[in-house]
Amino acid sequence: MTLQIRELSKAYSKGKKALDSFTLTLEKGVYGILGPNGAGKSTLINCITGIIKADSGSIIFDDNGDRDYMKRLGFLPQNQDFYPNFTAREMILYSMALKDVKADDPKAYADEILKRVNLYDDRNKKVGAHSGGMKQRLGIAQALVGEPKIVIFDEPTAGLDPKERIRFRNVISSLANDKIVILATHIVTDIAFIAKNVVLMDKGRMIDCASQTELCSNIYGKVWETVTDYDKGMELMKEKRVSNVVSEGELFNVRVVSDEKPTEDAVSVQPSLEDVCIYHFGEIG
Amino acid sequence: MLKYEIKKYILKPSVILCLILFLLLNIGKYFELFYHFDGGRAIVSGYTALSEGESKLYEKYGGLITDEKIEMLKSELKTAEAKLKEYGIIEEPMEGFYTGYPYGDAELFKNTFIPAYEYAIFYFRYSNEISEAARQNAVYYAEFSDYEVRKNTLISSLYKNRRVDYCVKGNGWSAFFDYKFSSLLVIFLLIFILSPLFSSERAGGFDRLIISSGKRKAAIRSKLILALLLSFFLTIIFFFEDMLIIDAFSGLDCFNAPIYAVSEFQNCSFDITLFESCVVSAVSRFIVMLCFTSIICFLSTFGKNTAVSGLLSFSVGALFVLLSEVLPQSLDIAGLVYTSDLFRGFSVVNIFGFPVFSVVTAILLTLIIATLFIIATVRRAFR
Repeated sequence: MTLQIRELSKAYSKGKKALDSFTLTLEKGVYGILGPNGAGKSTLINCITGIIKADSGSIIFDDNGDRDYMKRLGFLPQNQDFYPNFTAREMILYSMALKDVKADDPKAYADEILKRVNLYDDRNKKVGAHSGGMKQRLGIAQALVGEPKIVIFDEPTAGLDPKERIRFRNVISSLANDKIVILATHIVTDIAFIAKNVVLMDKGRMIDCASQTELCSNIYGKVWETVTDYDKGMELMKEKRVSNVVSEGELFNVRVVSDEKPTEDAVSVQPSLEDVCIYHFGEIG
Repeated sequence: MLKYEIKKYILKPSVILCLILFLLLNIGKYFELFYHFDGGRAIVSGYTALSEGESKLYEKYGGLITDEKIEMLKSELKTAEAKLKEYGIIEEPMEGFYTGYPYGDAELFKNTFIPAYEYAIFYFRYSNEISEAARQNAVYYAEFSDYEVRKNTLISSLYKNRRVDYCVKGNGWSAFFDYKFSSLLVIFLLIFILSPLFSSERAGGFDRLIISSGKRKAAIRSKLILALLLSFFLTIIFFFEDMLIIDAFSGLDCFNAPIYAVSEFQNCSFDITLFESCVVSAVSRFIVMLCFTSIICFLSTFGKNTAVSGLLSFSVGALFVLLSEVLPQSLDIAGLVYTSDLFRGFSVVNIFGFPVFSVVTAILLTLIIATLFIIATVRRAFR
């Protein structure tokens, strides 16, 4: 099963290219899309989901000869709200109607989906009475209706508490076996935990697409830690790309992403995904 | 899909409560028209012993006019006049009188029932006079204007040999065809329920789910069907409520009688019964509501703010009402709501030399506008 995005371009009215010949081939697994604000993540997702039309390029899906990916698409948009007077089960039944999913016993099918996101016990509760986390799980549930082959989550953990975030990660991980899961988020740690592959994009183009290990090894020897006093720490923060600062009494442990050794006593450390973002974009996510 | 749309927009406590309140308000409005309040006590406006006697006499002389009734009416008139001479003006009501008073009985016979019977009996002659005058006009215009010939020929044929065989309680029917408050309530309800039809989907981000499901057209279709059904049911519910209220307060009878049996509609263009007039009135109201519904749906596709689309819809409704004051009947969309104008006289418009009823052009115009807005809604929604 592959999803090929070929030379996808999209420009908005002011002529700014949100996508610039974006090309990528996706296979089964979880893909995290990382990029700074305005990198084109949302435009890419909107093009894949059919919300906007690309100016040029193509998206080709192939799953043993099945080429209509729109019928196999599950999507959880950013800041998705739900009809407050619907129950969780009704919301899933509505999604089934929307996706033309037929089942012998629609309610049983809806309940099965809700069990997967741990909402079964609240299936008859009005959505208006759901917490933010429950709504987000309901969003995941509706995206899973019809057993989609491609599932796209746009900023899925925004506003979730740590417990809900962990629950969300576990649900996503359980989906990864037979699906292409695309995760666009600003929260690098979410991607670090669940995405096997990371797509780095900036200015509408793909910078790199590789496993986390590969991306981190690509910048090996460019991440440093040094212990400095306050003045030197401030100087490093102004002049270098600093990914982390930890106060240790009157001294500071500063983590710097740089091609060159920032100070004499700096030591090279193992890069993380956040360091990769800092290296490529100058900011995290 | 439709049942979910109904769940989204109609099966909500706020909507059901609003519908009940508006139905009660409609009753209250007619109650206010019919009654006036005196020291906190509701009094029927103009209620006198006369109206009580009138009701009793309608039971006896209303409906199909027969020779027997005519003879009885003549006889009762003579008796009433004789009793008036005998008793004169009395202050306390007496047994044996419809109104309780000899003067009241005589008044009712002379000024209500005799004129009503005379109207019915002489209507045949009156309508044939119109028909003959129109026929003569058609001959006169033969050399000048084909349109005038066609128009007068139409008048001549429409009014020829019309008969009224009924004595109808006319004020109820006049009130019914003139009553427009319920239509205003329907418009408010349509704005309240349908303004969020597309805007709320955008506000909650549902539009993205709908588009990504590939069911955009099906979703729009189910919403438009919902809007259509809603405008139909609201029109019908309030129409029947109007009928029930007005029947209870003023009386609606003789459904089989021609509409021109009500003297106010003596010049009505259409040779239809009062029952058929009700159907025309309901259809006419529904078409206006349909047009207005299509405009509300269209305005709902703009932006995320339901209040703004509701306000815009309200403004458009107000504009239609204002235009109704200046537009001719053939272009008056809002005018189709109160059908008394429709039934009161003969009104045609010249279309390529042929006389076409104004109501037909107004209905066609309304349907064209509705169609255009529905097409525009389909094109704009979820984009």
